[in-house]
Amino acid sequence: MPFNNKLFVNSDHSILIEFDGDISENLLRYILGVAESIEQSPPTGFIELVPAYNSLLIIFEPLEFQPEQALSQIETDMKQAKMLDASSGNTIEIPVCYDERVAEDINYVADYCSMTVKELIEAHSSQEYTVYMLGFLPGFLYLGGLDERLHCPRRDNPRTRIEAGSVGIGGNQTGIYPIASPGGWQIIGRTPKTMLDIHKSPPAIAHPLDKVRFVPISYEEFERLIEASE
Amino acid sequence: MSINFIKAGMQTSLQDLGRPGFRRFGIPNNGALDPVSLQIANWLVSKPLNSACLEITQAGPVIEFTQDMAIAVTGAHFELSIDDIPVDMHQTLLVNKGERLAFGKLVNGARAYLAFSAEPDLPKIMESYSTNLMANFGGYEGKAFKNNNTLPLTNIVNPKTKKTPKELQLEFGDNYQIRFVEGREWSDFSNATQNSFMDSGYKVTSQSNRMGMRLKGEVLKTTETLSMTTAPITPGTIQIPPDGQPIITLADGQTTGGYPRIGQVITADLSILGQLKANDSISFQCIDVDDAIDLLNAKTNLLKQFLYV
Repeated sequence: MPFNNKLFVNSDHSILIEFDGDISENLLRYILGVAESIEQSPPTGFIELVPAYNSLLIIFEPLEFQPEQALSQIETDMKQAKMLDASSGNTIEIPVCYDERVAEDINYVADYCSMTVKELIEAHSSQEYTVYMLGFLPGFLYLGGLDERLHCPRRDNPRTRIEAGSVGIGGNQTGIYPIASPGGWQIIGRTPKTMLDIHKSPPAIAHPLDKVRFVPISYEEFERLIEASE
Repeated sequence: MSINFIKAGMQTSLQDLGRPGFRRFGIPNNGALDPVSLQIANWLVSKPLNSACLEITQAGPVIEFTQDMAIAVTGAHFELSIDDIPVDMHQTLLVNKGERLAFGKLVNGARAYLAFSAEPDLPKIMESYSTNLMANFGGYEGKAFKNNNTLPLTNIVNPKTKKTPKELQLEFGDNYQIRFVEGREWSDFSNATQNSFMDSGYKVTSQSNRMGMRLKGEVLKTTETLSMTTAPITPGTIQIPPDGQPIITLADGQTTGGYPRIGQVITADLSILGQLKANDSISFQCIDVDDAIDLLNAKTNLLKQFLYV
């Protein structure tokens, strides 16, 4: 096994696997490989699993949960687990409008990072990001790979409402609010793309190991795409 | 064929037993906060136990029926009337076209469930009628009902009348002992803090909702500041944020969290959490996983004994 791990009976309906090692794409590829091997021969009562940065939660129908049996089967599955290929993700392009009419904090962030707005857009959209996990809000992507020059603290006063599609920076992370919600990140753009399509299966547009690229678009293009999607 | 909301109530939404299987996309289970009461309500109108009901929170609605049908109300104890004539909960009620059901005073508990002998004429989203109030999908336009909304219905039947067996007619208090199993970061709290968590008791605050129950009481801190990586959580996870006041994740709660997990409420006690409201008291008792499983089996067997036949 390329990464050490510990298994815990986490509750009356779940088993938690925690993996040693720094968060990395290799660790992620291993966690997803473990997830795949568990799903291929699921223990009794298996409902679903949730991969995360350095852990994997396996959830059971509580009335059918047999902790000892589940632990031993998961250990067996893990022995057969293989790291997923580096090429197993898709690349997804997400159009982003960085115009200040939808990017309320872009001037502030550019000032904070001692850049021009143009340089900020260039830095944010030239990077290829890796999707590590989904969580927080339906369809929210945890992305790795934000340029260090763009790290910027969250707002002192979180906004009570951030529009769906808002692209933000919070500390060393960047991401997209998939639905309107409160939030404290600095808003540097907005995408017209729907991050969560509840009528599709699966409902999210991206998955762990996918690559994300932000493609700058004009305000006019943004408005046109919003209209087309309505 | 429909149910019309003359008044919507404080938060009335369509819920069934939820949508398991989508947590990896950040989508919580949703579904009734008191699934036991939902199942009893469905049994009273002879529907499959996971059918959609109205979940009614604290201040109830006034509802008009446009068609004869059967209904039943379980869960939180409300005073009820049909066209101003008092009626009881926990029985099949046959209502006629044009009659109005009014929810009056809340006697105890927090959430009632109204089952109806019909199907919502609405699309299921991810295999469920449950409303996700945060992302606004499922249920009726993804939202709680508003005054003058109409819930369209189909496949109305008129079943036989039944009563909830005495053993399943729960009354709710304002003081509960909730059982939990040790959470992943339990041992990062000192023995004194662990004891304080179990002995001191907490009050439910008014900031609670279907996502989470926020508590107020003794401040809890880990022995060292933990550098936590965001990890999956489930309904019942008790997290301790920096202010030291516990938050229990509920059915609409986030699928991942980054605060120390002091405990996990046992599945058998989750439905009770759905009946707690602001200022109710809660104390915590630690048990092991095997006992948690036994308690759930006992509770389910009691339900099965009456409802599954």
